Amino acid sequence: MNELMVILGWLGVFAPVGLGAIGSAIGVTIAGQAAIGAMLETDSGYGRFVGVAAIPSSTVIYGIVVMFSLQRTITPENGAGLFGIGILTGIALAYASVWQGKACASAIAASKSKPEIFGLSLAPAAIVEGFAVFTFVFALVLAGNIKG
Amino acid sequence: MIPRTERYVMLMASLPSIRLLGEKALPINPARLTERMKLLEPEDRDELMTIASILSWNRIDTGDDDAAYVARAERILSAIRSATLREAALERLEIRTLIAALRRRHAGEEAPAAGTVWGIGRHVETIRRNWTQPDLGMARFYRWVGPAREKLEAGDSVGLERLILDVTWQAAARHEFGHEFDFEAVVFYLMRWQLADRWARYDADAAAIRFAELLDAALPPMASLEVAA
Repeated sequence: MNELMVILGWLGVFAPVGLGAIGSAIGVTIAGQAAIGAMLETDSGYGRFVGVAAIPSSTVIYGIVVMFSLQRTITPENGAGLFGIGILTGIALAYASVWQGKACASAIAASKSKPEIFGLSLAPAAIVEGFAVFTFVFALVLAGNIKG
Repeated sequence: MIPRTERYVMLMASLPSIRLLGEKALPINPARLTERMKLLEPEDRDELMTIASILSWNRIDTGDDDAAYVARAERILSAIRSATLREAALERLEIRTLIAALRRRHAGEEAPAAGTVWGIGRHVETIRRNWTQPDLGMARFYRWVGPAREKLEAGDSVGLERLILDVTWQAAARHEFGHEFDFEAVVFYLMRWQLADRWARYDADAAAIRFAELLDAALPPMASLEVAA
């Protein structure tokens, strides 16, 4: 049982990075494909499209910071806490990345024919980013309460 | 591991937006559109061709009689994998059935005999039973039946065409909701492109006829010109 708790603890420590990276990879790929498609149809603004496509990569950075905040000597006592915070943070970050990628793809597809809505079209992606930030901040707060 | 709903992000992002009454020239020409469609997966391309074979006028086999066409359309409808596309294709054929009924009645035809295969969809029998009603018993399903009949009876062919395209466009937009980057989105884009293309051509033809009429009205007959000379 003690060994299982330690294993779960390790899973929890790395989950924010692992799941965050998976989510970011999918999100950036979705938005990146939209950016490539938009480049076929437009004659300028390529850098702007690529910049938007990179937005979902922020969640893996949050995951790295959360991982460092969870990193400590893993014991049977703190394994469950690390697992709970780490796994749920990782899932939330991954989910936010994928959906943010979709929001960015829509923003790129819409703003290629109507450049004046570029800024406004990013609002949904920014709101999703806000949810990822909530997860990030409160994971850091709770990580400080875990003994180890 | 890209989700199926995002399968055609690049393709859809590479297509310009289309409006039914947009610019005189379509924002993407047929050659370029065909080139872009090469990004479709082979199985989706096959499905697209199958759907086009019952919806696209230039792919429908005009040698088929009504019964043969209906049988083929029903077979193809039941084979369409996407429930959204199946429903959208069925509704489009139902709209055509209703328009065909209005035209046939306007031409003085009697109601089709019971048991005759003459249309597609859920309202065929209702239309047949209500043949003598002004709206064919369809006003509660389609509010545009009344205006369509009025335009048909007034001989306003341009107005009727515009109305049909509008109704078809709105039906496609309704079914398209929630599909942005998947195969369904591609099919709906092509449907809308076809409608815009049809309007652009119709508009050009109607303008040419109108221009000729104005010329005839404004210029004196050729004979009087010769006399004057």
